Parts: sequence; C-alpha cells; structure tokens
Amino acid sequence: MTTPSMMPRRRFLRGLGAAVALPTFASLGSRAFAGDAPGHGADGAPPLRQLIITVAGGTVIESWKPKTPGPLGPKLPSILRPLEPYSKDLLLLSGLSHNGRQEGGGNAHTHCAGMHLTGTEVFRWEGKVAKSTISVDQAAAKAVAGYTILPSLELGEPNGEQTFSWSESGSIVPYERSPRQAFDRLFKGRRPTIPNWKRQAGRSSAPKPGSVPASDDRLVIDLVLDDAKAVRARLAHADQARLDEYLDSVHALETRIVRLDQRAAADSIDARSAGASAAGSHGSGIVLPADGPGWDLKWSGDDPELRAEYFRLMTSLALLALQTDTTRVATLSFGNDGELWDGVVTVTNEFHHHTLEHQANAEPIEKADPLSREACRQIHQWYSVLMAEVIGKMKAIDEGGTSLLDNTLLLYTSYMSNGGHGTKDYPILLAGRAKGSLKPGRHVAYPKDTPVANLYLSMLDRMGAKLNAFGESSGRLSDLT
Amino acid sequence: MKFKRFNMIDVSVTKMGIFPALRRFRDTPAQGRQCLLPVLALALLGHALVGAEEPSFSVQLKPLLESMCFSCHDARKHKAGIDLSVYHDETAVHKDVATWKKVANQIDSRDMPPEDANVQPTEEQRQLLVSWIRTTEARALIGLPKDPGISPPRRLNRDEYAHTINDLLGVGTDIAEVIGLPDDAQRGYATYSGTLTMPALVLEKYFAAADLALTRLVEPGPGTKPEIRIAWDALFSVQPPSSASARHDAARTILQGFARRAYRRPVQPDELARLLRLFDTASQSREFVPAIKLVLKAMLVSPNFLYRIEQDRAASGSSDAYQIDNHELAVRLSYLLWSTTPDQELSDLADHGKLSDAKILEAQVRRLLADRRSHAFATGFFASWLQIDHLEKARPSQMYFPALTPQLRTAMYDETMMFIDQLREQDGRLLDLLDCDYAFVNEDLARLYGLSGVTGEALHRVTLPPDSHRGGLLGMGSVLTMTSHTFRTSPTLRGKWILEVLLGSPPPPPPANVNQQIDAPGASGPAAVTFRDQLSAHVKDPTCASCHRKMDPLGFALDNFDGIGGWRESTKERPLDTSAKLPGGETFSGAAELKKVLWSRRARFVRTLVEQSLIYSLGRDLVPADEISIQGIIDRLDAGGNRFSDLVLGLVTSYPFLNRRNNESPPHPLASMPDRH
Repeated sequence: MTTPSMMPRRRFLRGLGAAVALPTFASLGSRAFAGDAPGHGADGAPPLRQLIITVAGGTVIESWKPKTPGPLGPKLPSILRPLEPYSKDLLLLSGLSHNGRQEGGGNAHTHCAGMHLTGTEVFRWEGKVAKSTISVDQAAAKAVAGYTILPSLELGEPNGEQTFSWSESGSIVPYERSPRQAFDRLFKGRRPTIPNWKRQAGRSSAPKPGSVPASDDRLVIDLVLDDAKAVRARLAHADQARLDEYLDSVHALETRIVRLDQRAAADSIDARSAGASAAGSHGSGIVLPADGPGWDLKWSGDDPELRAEYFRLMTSLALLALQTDTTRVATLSFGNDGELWDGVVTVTNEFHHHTLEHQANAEPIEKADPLSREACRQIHQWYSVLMAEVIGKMKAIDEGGTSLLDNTLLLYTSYMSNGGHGTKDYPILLAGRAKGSLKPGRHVAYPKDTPVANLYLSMLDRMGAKLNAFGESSGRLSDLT
Repeated sequence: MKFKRFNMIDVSVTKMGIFPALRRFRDTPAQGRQCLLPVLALALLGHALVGAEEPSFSVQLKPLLESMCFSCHDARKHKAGIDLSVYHDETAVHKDVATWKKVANQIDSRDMPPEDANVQPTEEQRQLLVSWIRTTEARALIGLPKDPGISPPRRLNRDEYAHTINDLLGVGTDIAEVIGLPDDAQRGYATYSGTLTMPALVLEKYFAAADLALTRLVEPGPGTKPEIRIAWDALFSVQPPSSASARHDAARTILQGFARRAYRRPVQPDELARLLRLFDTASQSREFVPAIKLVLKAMLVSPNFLYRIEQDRAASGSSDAYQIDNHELAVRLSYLLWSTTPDQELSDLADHGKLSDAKILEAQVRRLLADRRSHAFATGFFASWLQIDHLEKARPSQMYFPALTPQLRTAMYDETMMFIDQLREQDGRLLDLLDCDYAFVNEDLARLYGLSGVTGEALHRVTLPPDSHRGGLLGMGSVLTMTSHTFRTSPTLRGKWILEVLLGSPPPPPPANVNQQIDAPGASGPAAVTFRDQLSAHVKDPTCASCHRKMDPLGFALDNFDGIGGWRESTKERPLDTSAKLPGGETFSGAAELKKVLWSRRARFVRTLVEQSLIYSLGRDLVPADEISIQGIIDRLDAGGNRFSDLVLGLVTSYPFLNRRNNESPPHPLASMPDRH
C-alpha cells in the first residue's frame, strides 16, 4: 500500500474505522465492493471514472476550434497551444449546443448555468427557487452508486446563481469550496489508499464486517431517524417533503458510514495480500502540500496566481479521490464572471472578466472590441496551461500498465460557449481514452445545434447508466470511437 | 405560491378609508359583520364614485381599454403575457386581481400606455381606470378569507445556525464559517424557506459542525474563549455520578435542560425517553462525559434543532388558520430580530404563556430592539434588501479609483449598516433613508464626500452642510460603488437599483441573446460625444427601450457621482449631462432633483420596504391576503412618523406573523389561479 506524501492532518474520527454489523444495510453488501460488474474492476483493471472540469467565460472560438475536422496535428489553435504535448490524448468536439429555454425570469447567466451540465429542455425559476433536471455528474454518480465511499464529489467555486449540479429531484447540489473541508470529507479518519484492483478481481462481495460496538455516528443516526419520523408524522403532506429530504440525506450519510467500514476492511486485506507489493509499486503521484495556510485558499477574485494555486490543490484532491476509489465521479467548477485578470490580461487596462466577456462578443462579431477579445483569449489560454498540468499528472499516475488518464472520461468545458451568454458551439474537450471507449487525437465537428445532451448521453453509456434519453438529447454522439 | 409580489396600491385608497374599514370588517367575528357592512359599503362607494355614478366595466372601462391597450395586449399579441381581451365583465376582473393590480400599477406610474402609443388617455380617464381597478381589487380582498400563509419546517440558515450554536454552547460564532456551511440564498433572503434545502453535503456539514462545537466545549483550546468553560460547567453542574442509576438521573437532568434550549420548546416525554435510551446504550461502552457528548451531538443534528418546526393544530386536510403557540412566537420573534434562539426571558415568558399578551409582546419587541444583537436584523434584512452585501464584489477597481482601498470599501459598508443601526437605536424615521441632513463618515469617507473635520478610522455622525450632496442612500459610497462598472459609472445599474430596491418595480432581465455590448465605451462609434450619446442606443432599439427608458434617466441624474461616489462637476473627456426625462414625461436634472422625485414617490418606497420586510419575516412569498397586513403596517408607519419600531411592531403583530395554517391548499379560488407572469 502506498499513501500520498501527506498524512491526514487531524486526528482520526474515533469509531469510523471499525467495522459495524448493520442488519438494515445487509442489502448494500451485494453491490458494496469494487469488483462485481464489468468495467467496475471485475476484470482486475481499474474502473472507469468521470471527471468534469468547467470554467467561466466560454471561450474565443476562432482561437479554440481547429480549422478542419480530422486528426489533430502537432499544432493546435492558440488557446489550446499549451496542450500540444498531449494532442494525441485530446478529442475536440465542435458544433455542440444547448437549445433549452429558461422560464420564470432569470438572467442569461443563470440560464446558461441551469443548462450547462443538465442539457435540460426547460430551466425554471419557481419564484426564488431554481429547478432543473438531473445533471450528467449526478446521473453518472447514480449509475456507479454503491461502489465507493462518496457517490460523487463536487468541488470549487460556483458563483452565486451559477449552479451546475442538480439532483434527480431537480434541486441544487452544493459544491465544496474549501480544500481543507474537501480533504476532511474525503480522507478524515483514514489514509488515502489505492485499492489493489488485481486482488479484488476475484471477489464478488465486500468483506464481512466484524462485530464491534456501533460507532458514535451510527447511534446518533438511529436517534435522529426516530426524531425525523416522529416529526414527519405530525406534519401536513406538503411539509413532509422537507423531512423526506432530511431523511434522504441521513440515509446518504448512513450509507457512507457503511462504505467506510467496508473499505477499511478491504484496505486491510489489501495490505496483507500477496498482491500488496505490486499494488504498492505504483505511487499516488499526487503531492499535497503540508498542513498550513495553503489549505485555507479561496478562489481569489483579485489574484490569478492564487486562483492557479487553488485550481492545482482542488484538482489534486479530485485526482487523489479518483485514484483511491473514494469516488468515481468528480466535478470541478472554477471561475466566476466577476474576477479580475491583472497580470494575465496584458492587452487592455480592463481586467474585469464580465466586462471583457461582453465587450469581446457582439452580433455581428465585427462590432466586438478586438482587444477585449484578445484579453478573453489570454484568459482561456491561461486555463489551458493549468489543464495541461492536470492531464500530465493523470498520465503519470500508473494504475498497473494503464494510466489514470486512460481510465478516466475527462471533460473540460465552460458553462457558456462564449462570454456573450453563448449557447451555441461550446468548447468541448475530452481527454484520455475512457478505458478504450474514446478515440482521441482528433477533432470531430458535429452538425449545428447538435445537443450537448447527446454527448452527456454517450458519456453516461460509458459510465454504465442505461438511459434512453438525457435532457434535450436527440440521440447519441457518433464518431467518438 | 402563485402570486410572487404584490405591488403598489394607490395611497388615495387609504385616504378614502377603504382599508381601515376593510380591516375592521375582517377583524370582526362573522356574526358582527352584518352591522359593519353599511360602513364598508359607504367607504367603497365614497372611493369608487368620487361623486358620480359608479362606472360600469362594459360601458365605460372596456372601450377605454380596447382603444388604449388592445393593440398590444389582445389575444393575438398578448405582449408580456398579458391579454386583456379575455376579461368580459367585472367578475372576470374580480377573479384575477393579481393581473389587474399590475395593470393598475402600469397605468398609474404612466409606464403604460407607452409614450409613443397612438392613443393616450386623458388624466381623467387614467384616474378612472386606476381607481376602478383598485376598488375592484379591494372588493375581491373582502371576499378573501384570512390566510396566514404556510410556514413549513424551516432549516436554520447559515447565520442563524452560527448564532444559535454559540448561544447554546458558547463555542464562538465562527463554527459555520470554519466548517464551510454553504451560503443559503440564490435569490431573495436567507430566511426564505423554499431555498433552505438539506442536500447531503449540508447535513454532513451539520454533523461536522456538531463535532467541532462539542470538541470545543469539552476540550477548550488555548485560543478558545473562557465562556466555553462556563457553558460546559453550566451543562454539567451536577456532580460526576458513580452508580448507574445516579448516572441515568444525572443524564436526565442535563438532557432535559439542554433539549429545552436546543429544541426551543418543552421536550416531550417520548423525546426525552429516546434521548435517555441513547444515553444508556452509549454508556455501556463509554464514560459518562463521552456518552453525554454523543447524545448532545444527536440533538444538534436532530431535525428538532436544525429546523424551526411549528405544529399543525387544525385537523389533517384542513386549511383553517390558528394562532401559533407562545414558544413558536418566541422563536419567530427571536430569529426575526436576533437571528438566534430565544433567550431566557423570552423562553420564560413562553413557558408561562404570557408572550402572546399584546402589551408584553410589544415590551419584548422593544427590549430586543434595544439590544445590539438586533444588528442581526440590519445585516439579515437591510443589507440583503439594499443589496449592500454585494459591495464586496463591486466592480470598481483601485487601478481606476486609487481612493478605493479595501479600508474605504469596508467603511462604505459600515456607513450604511451604521445608518440602519442608528435608526434602530434612536427609533429614527425610515424615510431618512431617502433624504436626511446627516451621515456617518470616517476620515476616508469624509475625504471622498468632500467633508472636513473628521479624522481617524472610526465613523462619526456628522451634520451635513446645506450644499452637501449627501444624506440618505443615494449619496452613499456603498450604493454608488456597487452600481458602477470597473472604471466608470453605470446609469443603467443605478437606475435599476432605484427601481428594484427603492420602488419595488424591478425591470425584467434583458432578453436572451440581446447584444449587451451597447453598454460599453465606444459601442456607438466615434461620433458619440457624451456618455449619454453612447447609451442612447438603448432607447433607439425597441427591444431595449421599454425598460431602459425607465432605468437610464434615473441613473444619469446621479452621474455627478463618479464610479465610487466621489462628486464631480465634469469628466475629463466630456461634459456631464444629468438631465432626465421619465417615460411619463416628467423631467428633472441632477441628484438633488432626483431625490425630490423619489420623495414624491415615498409612499411606494415605504410600501416596498414593508413588503420586503414582511417577506423576510415570514420566509415565504406574499399571498393576496397579505395585502391587508401590508396596508396595516403602512398605516401604522404613516401615523407614527415612519419610526423604525413601528415597522418592527407592525411586522410582529401582523396577522400572518401571529398565525399559521396547515400546509394545505387554501380554500379560496384566487390562490389556485394561474399566475400570468
């Protein structure tokens, strides 16, 4: 077993490491462990993961889209130039659009945000409450639910009304903003441990939990479930939904405690098994900073350098979560339209992203301010530098002959197609091979207005969700393999 | 709820006396109503007839609407979703007061018909329409049964949680911050029940927050405050027990006391039994203190603590209204003003069933208001209503405005908050927000405002010289900065702020895919001489004009204030043009005259303040029946000189604040009608 170069900073939560006998959750056992379904580790190979990284501001399409479809040459358009070393790993998709509508009077940013990962036909404001349909990350999480400690991980800095992840019931899934909190959520009380996929190939169920006293949280949950049921029974029907939501979240937490116990048992078998040395031969590759102020970084509105540090730390945490099979679905959101880009933007004295976005886009495009457009190009090229680091890290993580990049479906995009609230021709970059289900090194151009939702449906196929449609999808994307 | 907002009502209605009569009618038990009917009828008559025969919808009104409105608002075009051709008689109007309220507001404010429409009403026709609609609306309201609205279980919001857990355990107010509890509201107020959801991440945060709070409680670190120790000692004032039965009894004492405070009501026997069972189970393998701590944690993540839960008292399926009980009232009052759990005095009054006594309730409101913890109302409601909480992210940058240091930005925020706080402390006039002769400044702000004689970082109240451009919100750096772009003013944003925040008539967002490039320098080409010329494109494009003709003039009148609120007579490049013409034809120029225009609309301002604070207080959207309460609070403010305490007392003694109903569909057909917007 290897662990990353950093020990959990806080003392372990007592009791969480112990296995617990949980009769009510016996049914979870059948699906509670890596290794019982094709593509989920049964073949001794690591499972497929989904990683989405999305940024603000759209792109500057003429500096992003290659002139022709087909194989990518060594030279890429200027925004993607920092990614040229990985051009064989990239699959660029152009022509994809969102065509959904917004109801109930939000602005154009909330509209784009509500469609972004949902591809929804209708994004609605019911008074002050936003409603969308399930997002691709949550749908993927649902497809692989039961294999990992966390069904999904949402990290980063969504800006105000810009909310990307939506549950099946159409409510907002919040993002964890603090690296410190994210670390605790992922690894508190345990060492970040990479599973021994080969050993687990032969198994079909989780190790039997032992019989020890129930943990604190297990007892706490028993009580609050009783409380919630008692409260619920006394409420009018329409109010009971509030308690149902509470109960759902308690059950999610309860499931996580079971998973943690099962995972602790699996890790300890891995540590003793014959394959341990093999498993241990490939290190995590992820280096986290030592405990300190760096862990309290926030997305800085003023300082791009601090933003870069935040990006690196949050992506590292996500990669570590995927590598250690703490989750198989991670979504990271970076950037809002309100930040300043002093130091990255060098061609104008205007550094405010939203202002630049609007000045850089106009109908017709000739009426736009070319300097602002160049400034936006600089911003997105800056993001590409960071994305190149992410792809580099993923390629360097060996999972026993294949890399984490090979085993991940990585989508890099933005919540608008351009800074003028564009919803047509999004910048869509896939990276890696998704366990052989993608053929990278190409640019594929799709017919105008092809829904982004078609891509999401194709992604969900790969994640094992068996859906007929997703959002406004009109079918599946051809030519991905 | 279908009805999102209730907007302006003609103040003349009040003067005519409809609403006092209406309220008396509604507040009278059914059997006594009979004798009030003549009074009510007279009031209605007096308003509607204005000395003439009551106009008939089909004879007088409908033809007028046809000529003025149908070119846009008929079945064919139904602009803005409004089709007025479907209303054939008074009954049809009566059934859809929400739409007709908007119609009256549009006509009354001279937003409709548009200036360039072929048919313009005479002043008499305009008044006839407005007054007829208002009267019809008032009649519709009489038909409405009282409806306190719903009050579903409401999760504590971030601030409420932070204050509450500190008041319970004395573990500091930073727990929510440290644990990273997500921000609450996407839109509206943090008290709005609809957005206070409980996704899995949030519940996890509450578990983590409980752990942190209890760790601080049990193991005060070197940096923690001494009161943590006090809270712990208070909690464990019993001697460490030795025998199992003594432990059980000690646990009972501790848990019963803590549950009373944590659940904000007396604990029920079955609840206490559950807590004790948990303690006994936990005790089997734990020492006394860890076992107690475990039960405390369970209480801190229980829905009884995390949610404000009010009891259904009517039969299942009934939508009859009933009074909330004294404990629920203590909770509503305490969270309204202090954003935290009721203190000992409120709890004692609730325990003795005395809080609902009108005199005691008023005395408690005044006591809470006098306490500095009522600052929570300033930050919770006022900062959110005025959108001052956006100041931190305001666009103007120090590169273009060197004076805008982080310290100045903070001082701007503090100025506005101190202004609100002194209104509360001094029980000042709320209309001072529109205009007054004083301001709160420190040295930096004084320099920005061109005032002399103030030094240092602390803010001081100063009396403004007569020629000062300050006094009230429109002269505040916070408001003026928040509504500007990186390096320049934005008349559009300033006008939008005035319409939305002060006057309660927000313009809709720009249509999708509109070219917003227009609001940028150079957009109108090199021929544009003044800033005004550049933005004139807004009013040339018909898509933009209908709203920008309302917003931009208001903002241009403020253009003597630069992007951070400094005064300027001209800009380097071009002369300033602060003249303004509103869609109704009203003309004025500059900030001082704008203030006068707003002063003439102060009734709208007061109504907006009342509506918004009622939404904040109730944590829900307004419903038609709230109109009576709104008008009651407005009357109280008018009669008492617009004092701060009158607003709060008006809110606290309003019908929906003191009552609730089960969350069932209300019986009246109005509430189930489709919202036309």
